[in-house]
Formats: sequence, C-alpha cells, structure tokens
Amino acid sequence: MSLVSARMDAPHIDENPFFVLDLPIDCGAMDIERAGQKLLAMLKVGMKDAASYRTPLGPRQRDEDAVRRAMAALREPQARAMAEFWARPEVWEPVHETRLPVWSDAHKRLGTLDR
Amino acid sequence: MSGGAALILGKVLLYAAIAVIILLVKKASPGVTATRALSWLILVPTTFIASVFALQGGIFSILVFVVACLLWFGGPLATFVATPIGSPRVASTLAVVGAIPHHLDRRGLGSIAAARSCLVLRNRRHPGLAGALTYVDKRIADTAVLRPGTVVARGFCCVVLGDREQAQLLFKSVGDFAAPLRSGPAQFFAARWLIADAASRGEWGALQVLPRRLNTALTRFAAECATRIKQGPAAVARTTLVERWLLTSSRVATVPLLKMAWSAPTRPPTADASYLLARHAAALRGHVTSEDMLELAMSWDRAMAEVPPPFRMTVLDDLNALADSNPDLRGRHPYFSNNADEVLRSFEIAVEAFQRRIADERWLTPIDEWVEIAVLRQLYDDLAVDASRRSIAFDTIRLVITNYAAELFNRRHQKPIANALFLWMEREARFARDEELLQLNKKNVACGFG
Repeated sequence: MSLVSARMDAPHIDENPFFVLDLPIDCGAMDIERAGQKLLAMLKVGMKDAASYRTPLGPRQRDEDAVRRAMAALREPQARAMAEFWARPEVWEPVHETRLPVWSDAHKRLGTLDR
Repeated sequence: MSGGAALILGKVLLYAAIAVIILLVKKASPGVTATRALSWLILVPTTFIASVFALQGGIFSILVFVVACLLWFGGPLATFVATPIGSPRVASTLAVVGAIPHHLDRRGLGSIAAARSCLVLRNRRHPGLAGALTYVDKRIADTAVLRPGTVVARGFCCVVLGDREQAQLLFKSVGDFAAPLRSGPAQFFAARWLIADAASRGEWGALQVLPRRLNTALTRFAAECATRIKQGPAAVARTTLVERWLLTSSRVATVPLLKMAWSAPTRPPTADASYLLARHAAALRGHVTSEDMLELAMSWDRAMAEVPPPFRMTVLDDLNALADSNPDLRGRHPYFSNNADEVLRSFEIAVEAFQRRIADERWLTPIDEWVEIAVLRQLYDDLAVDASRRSIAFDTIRLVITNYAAELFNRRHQKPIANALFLWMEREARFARDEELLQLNKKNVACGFG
C-alpha cells in the first residue's frame, strides 16, 4: 500500500509555540514567561539541550527568535487558540494503529491466479 | 395424403416447432439471440444422441461426442485445466471452441485464457513466459474488432508485467462498454481481479467507488462490504450485506469478505472533530494512503462550515501542500486545488495530442486506441471532480470524442468502442444539459454495436 509522503513544511506545527516552548496547552501566563526566559538563558550560553525541540513532525531547530515569537504568540488570545488547536495531544495519537483489515488471500479465493 | 405432401407438412411442422422453441427460449432469457437458441437446439439433441451411440462404441459417435463435449465444456476446460497447466495455446483454443455455442466473443475469450496462462507461467518463473507473452500480444494486436474480452486479456498481460496501474485502468474500462457486450466472462474476470487487488491491499475506498465504473452484482456487494469495513456497522445493515451477497455468482469465494464486513468493529464517526484532526495529523506525518487523503478531504468538506476561518486556511494549506507532492491526489478533490490548473493543462495537452493524431489519420491498433481512450477518460474523471470542472472538461472533449466515435463506427468498423464512447458522451451531455449533443448521441447509441 503506497503511503502519502509527509509534508516537510507546516508552520502551524513546526513553529507551534507550545512545541517551541515545550509546554502543555493548559499552561498559564506565568508558565509561559518562566519557560521562555529559561530557554533564552540556555540558548545564550549555548546549551545543547535547548538547541532543538520536538514536534509531531520531527525535531526542529530552536533559536532565540523562535522563542520570543512563541512567547508573543501565546500572549495573543487568537494566536493561542490556533496553537492550542494543533497542539492538543489527542490530535497526535496515532490513528494508523487502528488500520483497516486486509483480505490477504483475496487473489487466491477469487481465483485471479495473481498473487 | 401422398408421401410428398406428408413430407412437406412434416417439414413445416418441424420448422414451426423450432421457431416456437426459439421464441420460448428468447422469452425466457431476453439476452439470448435467435442464433444462440438455434445452436443450442441443434447441439443438445446431437450431444445426447452421440453419447448414446458412443456408449455402444461407434468411432464416429465417439468423435461427435468428443467434439460436442469440447463445444459444451471448452470454457471450463480452458479455465480449470489448460490455464492452471500454463499452456496459452491450448487454453486459448479450448476457450475459443467453448465460446462457439454460447455466441460469445471468441477472440477475446481465447486471449483471456492465454493471458491467464501467462500469469501461471510468471508465478512459476517459467522460461517460456516471454514466448507465451509474445503469442498473447500478437493475438491481442491482431484483433480486428475490439470487445471487452481483448481489453481484459491486455489487462492480464499488464499484471504479468507488473504494471498494476495500467491493469486497473483497463479492467475498470470494461464497464464502459454497453451492458450486453460486457456481460459474461470478461466482466467476471475484470471484477474479480479488481476486487482482489483492492481488498488484498486494504484499499476499501477504491472498492466503495468501483461500481461507478464496473457495475456488477459482485462489485456492488464488495462496495457494501467496503463501506461497512471502513465506516462501521452503522453504515450498512447486515441484511443488506446478505441480500447483496446472495445476488452474486461468487458466493463461496466471497464468504471471507462477507465475514470481515459482518464483524466490522464500530469506528469513530468521521465527522467527529478530534478524530478528523487526528487523521489530519496522521496525513501530515505521512501515515495515510491516497484513498485516506481523499476521505480526509471529504470529511473536512462536510465539517468545514463549523471550522473557524483561520483554522480553515491552515487546513486547506495543508491539503494543498500534501496534494502538491502526491500525483495520485491530483484533481481528485477541490481541496487539492493547487494542482487543479495543472490537471486541466495535462488534460488539454492530452486532448490536443489525441485530436492531432486523429486529424493526421495516425491510427493505432484497436487495443492501443482503447488504452488511449481509457487514459483520456481517467484524466477526464480526475478533472471532473465537481460540477464546474466537469463542464469545463466536457466542453473540451465533447466534439472531439463524438466525431472520433463516429469515425470509428463508420470507417474503422470498431462499433463496440464507438458505442462505448457514444454512451459516455450521452451521459455527459445529459449532465451538461447539452440537448443537441444528447439527441445526437442517443441516436448514435441506438445504432448498436454489432
């Protein structure tokens, strides 16, 4: 079965503030400030742990600009709602685990002589 | 009454009896032609008499009996004996002989039997495969008037060569022929292969839409099963499944499919927002097939009215971007619209090239003409995903196809192909409310295919 190739560029996921700041979607304003400042400090001293962050589409590079943009976005109610929309954990629960069944011996049963 | 008069009266009575029997047979089975009924009328008593005399050991009677058996059982012998042995020539000959009393497409059935023998040779990695394929190819290329049987035979050749896409295209195209032409073994083999191919890969979406192109009792049953497997028990009732299953001619073979559909687990409703988002996320991560993508687009379409505008834009951006990188999705849904212009352009280029070829009278073999039509029709279907695009596609092709079909009918003697094209244009003209073209194609369809 041929799979659709993944899209490499999805800004609402790649640059989602919750992923950038590594925060849950129910975090408060204080959590955002604390996490942002901490990451900025870590980036300033060049700590490796802060240089990248995880997204459901794979790891992405983190820099000071991205952190500042993420903090600003989460202060805006509309932008925050949009970010929450895509950062909800249940969205990223793998649906492929409930794959539909296949009729593996269909060719044999239907006598197509193919395999 | 003199002996001569009695003989004449006897002959008249005999002819009258034959005529009455033919009429009764025709009335009982509307698809049966007079010649077919007559050949059965001759063959049945001949076989019976020959078998009685053959039991007494008469050489001539044994010969007649063998010939009658070949005529009666040529088809099954080809399918169950010669094809599994992997003997294209024997299988083809038996199929041709077996097609005579049934007045079926002899050339096509012979080619199908030979092509299926090639499949057996391929499965066994037999060194004689190349030679067998050459034989079948020549048989197909030399077909004077193309009928569905030859199309199916070419489809099986594509399967042998590993070209599944072309095989699917050809098998589906069998459904484009007029119903009396496509019914019988050609449609039977095409439907079975398409169902097996899709079901063995779990491509249930493809099965759901199969009856739109190839509408048989078996494809309708498979479509119901696919819907229930995909959408859960609420989508199709078990009684409907059983009803459809009983109408198929492949009840034993399709028991596993019935069982799968029967015990299909409940699935989350496709319009459920979090399920929709989860599927969207899976698509972004590349965990879905083209069919899943199409279904995702359709689910978004149904839910879009309730999606706030900013989210709507990101959803559409994602779908466009995914469609851009996947040619399979081209033009299959308006949400994959970034490449819609590209699809239209490809279609126009294909139509132009087609038109130029016909104008230059560069005719192909009948089967290659059909392959080109099938490709064009696929492009047309890819483009005609909604009413406005269907109109654009129809405007581009309406006169090209109608004139081409008339040429095939009048000068090239390819009446079955021409009839299939007239049927297509008639349906599209009805959709576009093009009254003039509708009437013209209705008249053309009425000219028949024989």
